[in-house]
Amino acid sequence: MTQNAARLTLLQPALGTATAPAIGPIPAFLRHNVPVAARSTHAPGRRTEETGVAVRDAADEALRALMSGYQAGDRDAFERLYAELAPVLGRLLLRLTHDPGRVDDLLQETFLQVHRARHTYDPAFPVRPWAYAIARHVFLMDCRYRHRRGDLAACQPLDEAIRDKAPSHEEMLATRSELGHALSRLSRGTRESVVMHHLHGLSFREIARRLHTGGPALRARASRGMARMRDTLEDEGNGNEQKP
Amino acid sequence: MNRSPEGVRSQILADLSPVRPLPRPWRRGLAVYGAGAAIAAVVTVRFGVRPDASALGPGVLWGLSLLQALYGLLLVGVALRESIPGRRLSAGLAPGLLVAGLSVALLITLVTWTVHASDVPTGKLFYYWRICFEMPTIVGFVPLALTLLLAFRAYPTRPALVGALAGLGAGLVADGSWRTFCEVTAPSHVLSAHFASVVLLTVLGAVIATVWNRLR
Repeated sequence: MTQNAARLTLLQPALGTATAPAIGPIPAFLRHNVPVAARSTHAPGRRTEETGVAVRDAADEALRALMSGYQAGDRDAFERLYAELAPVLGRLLLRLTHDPGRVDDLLQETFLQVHRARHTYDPAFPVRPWAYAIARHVFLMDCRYRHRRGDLAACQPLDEAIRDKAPSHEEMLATRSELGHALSRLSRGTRESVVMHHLHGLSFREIARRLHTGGPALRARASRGMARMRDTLEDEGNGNEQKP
Repeated sequence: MNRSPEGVRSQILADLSPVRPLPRPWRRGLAVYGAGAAIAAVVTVRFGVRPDASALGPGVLWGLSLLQALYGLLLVGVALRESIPGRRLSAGLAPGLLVAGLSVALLITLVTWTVHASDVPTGKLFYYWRICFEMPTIVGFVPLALTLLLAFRAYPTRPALVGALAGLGAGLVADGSWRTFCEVTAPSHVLSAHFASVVLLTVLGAVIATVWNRLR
């Protein structure tokens, strides 16, 4: 594991993620086959204070329409649904397995099961809880299979896994301070984009509405900001202090 | 497993036929409700009404039987709902419904015994036990099988729970009908025969659903 990867592992709790999975090979769903928009705007559990519900409902309506299209045999609807669901299901599976190496396989199996069970989806209900239930079921089936094969560590209880892999309190404090330092090196506009999107979970559309700026510009800023923070943390990890 | 994302996507795209969404659980359960009504009608017509009907009164005889059967049908609906991904019952509700179902049967037994006490005729203990254990089990297997068929047309993620709910529901429906025929109210008979049949159907439902899920 590189120093950068180790730091990112530590950063996840500081950024509010529930668990801190070990960073191994990057799962495919986080690589290139998924549009950025699908990765960034529909994370589960994200909620804005003022308009979160409305944003969530709009996203959910879109997913319901895609799911209905998928049930009707629409190829394009399936492709778009895949792009929308793959990142969130991947994240869920990563949280469950703590093993990026298993996520790709489980994700593909989940989509096969989603396909097999697509007639059970009721358009009157949200798509995500339905898809999560299938993903969780696939994970449990995989756990049982591995358990029978003697792989007892594959599905240890969540709290044990978190305890084993979570950083210590001191590490968390150090991470928070490093994170603050890396953030302080960004320009004000970039910092706002990073904090509002990655920390507070606002969608780019919502941030654009609040800051009266264009969505694509915000997206670029946030992406640039994250890349710069990554560089800063990596440099500091290698002992190269940057000038402000 | 080791499938590639592209492989899975092409596999799904190749099989992208339109599907009709399943109707709501209560509508899917219509066949089971019909079977429940048919069972009640057949038991009443074929075996007749218990001889102590007048002593019990219509409320205790028909009212409590109907209550028990309706609770059983409610459990069937819940089982069908539970078989839809994302519609699972909360952790407390699932065992609560099962315990409440068994409690309904126990309560009805006690109320009936209190209103009119009657025991098994001397020398016919085993005969009565066998009839009152076998018949509700056999009769209850019909709604159980129907419910499981419907449940597995969906995608139950907790098959044992779905099976247990279906079994208990079917058992309550069958026993609710059977108690309009059996004139014995002694708890020793009702618990060892009628109640045992309900419990057996519950366990049977859970086991069948678990095995079915593994074979899928």
